[in-house]
Formats: sequence, structure tokens, C-alpha cells
Amino acid sequence: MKGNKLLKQTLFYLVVAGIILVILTPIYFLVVISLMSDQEAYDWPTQMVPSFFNHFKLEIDGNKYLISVYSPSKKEYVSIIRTDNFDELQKFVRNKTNSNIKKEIFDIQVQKLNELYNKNKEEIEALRSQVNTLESKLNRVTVSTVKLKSQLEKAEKAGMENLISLIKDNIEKYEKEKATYEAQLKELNKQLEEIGSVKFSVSKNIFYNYVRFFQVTSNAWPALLRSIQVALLTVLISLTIGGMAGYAFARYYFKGKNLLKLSVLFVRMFPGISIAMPMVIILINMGFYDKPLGLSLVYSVGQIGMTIWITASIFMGISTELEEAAMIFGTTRLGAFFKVTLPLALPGLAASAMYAFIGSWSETAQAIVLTQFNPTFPVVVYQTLVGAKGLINLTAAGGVSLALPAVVFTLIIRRYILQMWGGVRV
Amino acid sequence: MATLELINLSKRYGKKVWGAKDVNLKVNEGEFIVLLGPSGCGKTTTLRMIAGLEEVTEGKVIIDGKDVTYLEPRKREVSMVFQSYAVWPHMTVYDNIAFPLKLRKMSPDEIDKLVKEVAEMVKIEELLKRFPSQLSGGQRQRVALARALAVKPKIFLMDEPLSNLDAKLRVKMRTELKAIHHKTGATTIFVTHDQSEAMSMADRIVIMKDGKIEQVGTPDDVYFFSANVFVAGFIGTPPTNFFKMNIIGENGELHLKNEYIDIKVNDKVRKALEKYNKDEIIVGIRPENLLITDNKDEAIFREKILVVEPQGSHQVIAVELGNQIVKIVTPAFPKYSADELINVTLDQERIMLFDIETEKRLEGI
Repeated sequence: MKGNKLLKQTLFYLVVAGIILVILTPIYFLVVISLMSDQEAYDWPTQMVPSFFNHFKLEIDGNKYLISVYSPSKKEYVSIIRTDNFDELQKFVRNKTNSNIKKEIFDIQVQKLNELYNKNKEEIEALRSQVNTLESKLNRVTVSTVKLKSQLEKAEKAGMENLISLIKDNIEKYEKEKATYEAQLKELNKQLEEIGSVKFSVSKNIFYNYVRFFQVTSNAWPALLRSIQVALLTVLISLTIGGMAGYAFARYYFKGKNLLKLSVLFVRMFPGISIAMPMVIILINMGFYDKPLGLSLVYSVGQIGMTIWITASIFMGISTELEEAAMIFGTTRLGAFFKVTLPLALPGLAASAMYAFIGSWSETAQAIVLTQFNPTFPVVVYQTLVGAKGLINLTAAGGVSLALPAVVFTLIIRRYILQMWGGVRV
Repeated sequence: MATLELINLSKRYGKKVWGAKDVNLKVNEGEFIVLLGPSGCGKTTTLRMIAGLEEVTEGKVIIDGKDVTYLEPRKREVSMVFQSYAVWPHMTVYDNIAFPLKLRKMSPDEIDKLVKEVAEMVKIEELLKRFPSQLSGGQRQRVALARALAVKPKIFLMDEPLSNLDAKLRVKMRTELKAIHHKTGATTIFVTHDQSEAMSMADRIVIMKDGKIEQVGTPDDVYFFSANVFVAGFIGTPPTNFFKMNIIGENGELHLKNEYIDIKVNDKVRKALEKYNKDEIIVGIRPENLLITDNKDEAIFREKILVVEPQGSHQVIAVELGNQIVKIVTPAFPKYSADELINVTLDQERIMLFDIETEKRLEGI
């Protein structure tokens, strides 16, 4: 018995953990990537958390500056740009690492670097020439190895046994040589780094992706506002019409009631995109094409059916006697609705408002068809995803900004959904 | 406090179903009227028409001499206690009572005073800050009562207010309701299907069946002078025993007779029967008016006991006459047991005779 209970418990926790994993992991990934720089996103998923600082290395190479940033996944500095123009350097570093190097900091580092360079000038020069020779040697060895390998292939095909072993020996020799060169090069670079470069850390603007998203996609802000407009309009339309219809379905009897109630759901059975095509023509005729109102009208068609079903069951749950009591004790028919039924229906209405909001907020397919110059926010995010290949951190930032208003709206409405008079307050 | 008059009040559902038909009733000031009847008899429909919650098909509702038939509920100055209490769940007890007063544009001080006053009257002073979901059924009932009392209505309407309470609480609330009525003196219309509730509370009982009034009278009236077979059968537990009998004259004596029973009638009954010119008649005898006797000659029938139902204060004895179960109420002692042969006679003063066709009670008895 005890073992059985333990098994059940374990299973239960496993399921819970699984659900949490399935829900939270994608959200975590999305949010984390949206906070990462290009450089970090490139390293994904070796790096699981976004960093708050970038570690830079500045060198003088010839008469240009060479700046590198530390990559945790490679455990070494990766060069970003070699230039003598500060503005160019600043812009390039900002786009690559999300850190904005200020002029003063850069000047200080350059001064330090110059001092260092002047002090160790000869050593640096010597080391550099060593490095250069080593690099050319390494290059030669690599080229020879490649050549030998192709020869080996030919020999194997021809089946010349004595030649194969000879070539193999040679390859081994070269590879050993290569390893020693690489070790030496590393050692030299380390020395060079110590005497010939300055290292400094600059804090990262963690929300830079978001800023950049709204900068890069020129119509992101208006699109966001339009999206909010569309979603709120949809909530308003579907809640007033759907709510009233739901009340009628709950309170009155008339012929064909059940058929009508079922038929409002038929609309939802058509894929939105298939309705969107004919809707373009209708909206153009009405003059609502490419306008938030037009879009929210189309969304409302689907949402009204849903709202009717939710609100009808909510209103059915509210006893008519409560309304009648209100009417006897001094309200009008309408007053009874507003003072008694509506407050009691608020949790259900809030829930269906949430449905309508989320449904219309994240809708993309119909929005692409029904808008042209005034797209909604999901369309803009979609376009970024399609247009900017590789910039996943930017797209992630767009995705998170798309999710955020829906989350905020849900949090606001949450207190109405969980309302319980005299029950446990949430 | 007011008078109420219903004139030919009718309610039709659809095309054929009558919820109430030609209800005529005059309620005096301060009277406690109980509408009694089986479910579906139209008592609640009538009440709702008085309240204005149900549209009137025909007839008039007159309160204090003023025709209110087509007036909105809120303008009728009535208050109502519902079967499901109908206390608003999103308001505290205080707000529930104060809400109608606020609608009447009373000052906050007045409201506060009035709420406290009625809360004290129905004993819910400690519950004013709670929400209805935190109250028991009985407490909610009291809140509904307080709310109805606070508005000082002309007429107090109650729609089976006690039917959702448990048996013990129901009896207790009955007494309290009556006490409150006595204190306020408000004209009250009370709907119930529970006859003991009706008998114990009413000044006058209105017995309804199929949307029509069968009898209006004091509890004693409807019990002892039931107007027809339905009323006689509906009022009283166990119900009245009815026998279809022939009127037979033998040797100058008049007998009421059927297969099992032979009643030699006394002068009073004979007088009543003089005007009756049909052969058959319905005889109603209440269970407590059937007496068990040792005298064989007196007996109207002799039969074996089927079952004995002891009730503590009395016992109910059932015997089977043909297909009919006849119930007899006797004192707690002596004890009887099943299969015992008994002689049964009756108290002829309390016999009820009904016309075989109209089922109306014969006059003079």
C-alpha cells in the first residue's frame, strides 16, 4: 500500500514537473534570447542566461584599433572590428554586443593602451613578427596536411600499401608540428595580450533588443497602438452584442432558440483565413479595409459566438429571483440588470473579455490579408521573423513585446475573474 | 398596512393553459392570508401577479383602492420574500437591507437606523457585515425577511419562504413570522403547500386548485366546513375518508349504505338530506371522527386492522374496505394490533355530505 502511494505521488510530481517544463521552457527561452546580444545569441545554448556585462579587449594593430569581446562558449576573445573611426567602432560594437562604449571610457582605455604600447613597443613588435612567422608556418603545415590527405585517398584507391604507410607517417609528423605551433601561438598571443592590450568591461543594455526592434521596424509603435485599438474594440463589440444575446438566450424562450444558439458557433467552424478573403471585398465596400475597426469587426464575428455561449451559461446561473427581488425593491427592469445581474456576471464577462482580447490580439493570418499599410503588431513581428534572417534575438524581443500586453490585460482582468463575494479573496 | 382586492384576476400561459382563473379575493387591513394548494394550483402565479412580476391576462389588482394592475413592481409598494430567499450575493447583509432604502433616497442616518431596527427584529445584528455565502439557510431567510420588513411595505408577500428550511427550523420560524406580523400588523399574503403551516399562521386560508379558488375561510372554516370534496380531502392529515354511498329508506329510517358500510342517520343528517334528490351521495368522514367501539349494534362496519401506525400522542389505524384504505385516528390507548377485529362507528355531528355530481357540500350540515 505504501509503495503504491509513493508510486502515485512520484507519478503526480513527474507529471507536474513535465507540465511546468513544457510550459515554462519555451517562455524562458524566448525571454532569455530576447535579452541577449547578437554575440550571445550566436553562442546559444551554451550560454543559458543573458550576461549583464561585456568584457572587451582593445589592441592597436598597425594604426587601427582592434576590439574583441569575450565569448564564454569559446573561452577566448572574438574580434569584432578593426577600425580607426571611433563612431564606426561604437556603432558596430553596440549592434553586436548591446554595449554602448562611451567616448570617455574609450579615450581612457586608448590612453592606457598607448602607454602600454610605447613602453613595450619593441617586445610587442618582436612578438608580432614571431606570431606572423608562426602563423605562416602553421598555414603551410595545414596546407601540406590537406594535400597529403588527398594523396592518401588516391593511394588507398590504387592500393599502394608501401606508399600509404609513408603518407600516414608524414601526416602524423605534420599534425604534431601543427600542434606545437598552435601551442606556441597560443603562448605568444597570451604574452602579447598581457603586454599589448587593455581589457575593460562595459555594462550591457539588456533591453537593447527591444529598443532596436522598435527602431528597426519603423511601424512597430503605431502597429502596437493599432493592435491595442483592435483588441479593445473587439472586446467591446463582442461583449456588448454577445453579452446581450447571451442574456436573451438565458432568460427568454423563443422558437428555434437552440438552433440559433448552435448556429452562432458555425461561424467559428470556418477557418479565419477563408473568411478573410471575401471579407476584404466587404470591408472595401464598407470603407473599413486596412482600418482597426474593420479588423475588429471581422474578429468580433468569431468572438461573438464564443461570448454568447460563455455569457449565456453565466446568466443562466444567476437566479431570476435575484432580478425580481431587485425590481420589487425599487429598481426598473434595466436597473435590476445593471445593479444585480451585471455585477454577478462580471467574472464570466471578464473571462469572455479575456478570450476576445487574446484571440484578436495574437491573430496574424487574417490581419495579413485584411491590412496593407496599417498592419497590426503580430503582423510586424511576423514580418521581422520572415525578413530578418538570423536575428533571432530581435524577433524574440518582438515576440515578447507581443505577449506582454496580453499578459498585462490578463493580470488586470484576473481580479474580476477570481471574484468571490464573501469567499476567499485572491 | 393596506387592503388588497383581486377582481377576476386571470393568467393564461400560451393559448390554453390557465395559471389562474377568475380569482376574486378581498383582503382586509392587517390580515394574514395564506394561499394554499397543491403544486401547480396557481397560488404562486397569483402572488406574482400581485407583485407585478407576472403580466395579468385579465382582471384587476387593487391595492388601497388604487388599480395597480399595470403598474411596475417598484411602484406598488409591496415587498416580497422569495422561496430561494433571493438575497443578493454580491452585497453584504447590511447592503442587502439598505439597497431598497437607498433606492428610496433615504438619508444615510435614516437607513442606518432602519437597518439596525429590522436586524434586531429578526435577530441578525451580528451578521450585518457578512456576505450571504457565509450564512446558513436560516440566516439568509432572516436577511430576506429583514429586507422585506425594512421598506415598510403596504403588502407583504411571501412565496413559500419556509420550504427550504429543515423541519425544526421551519416550525420555529413559523412562530417568529407570526410574532413579527403581530408586531408590524402588515397585510400579508403567504403562499405555501404545507397545510399545517397554513393552519397555524393564517387569519384566513385561500385554498386553490387548478388556478381557481376553492374556498376562502378561517382555518376552522376550511377544516370543519370544507366547501367541497377537494378541500375536505386536502386539509387534514391523514386525509378525510370518502365513501360513495346510496341513500336508502327502510322502515321509516334513512340509511347511507354501500357494500361495506351501513350508516343509520340521525335527525340532523336526515334534515339535510331532505332537499337532496339524488340516490347517490359522497360521504366524508375525518379519521378522528371514526370511533372504535365495543358495541356491535352501533357499528357501521366491522373489519380486521390492516396496519397500526403509532404516532405517540395518538395512533392511526388503517383498515381495508374493498380497494379502499380507511384511516382511523384513535387516542394512544388502548393499543391495537394488526389483524385485530374492530367495530367502527362514527360521530354523526361531524359527518360531511357532498353532492355526487358537483362535489359541493350539502347545505345545513
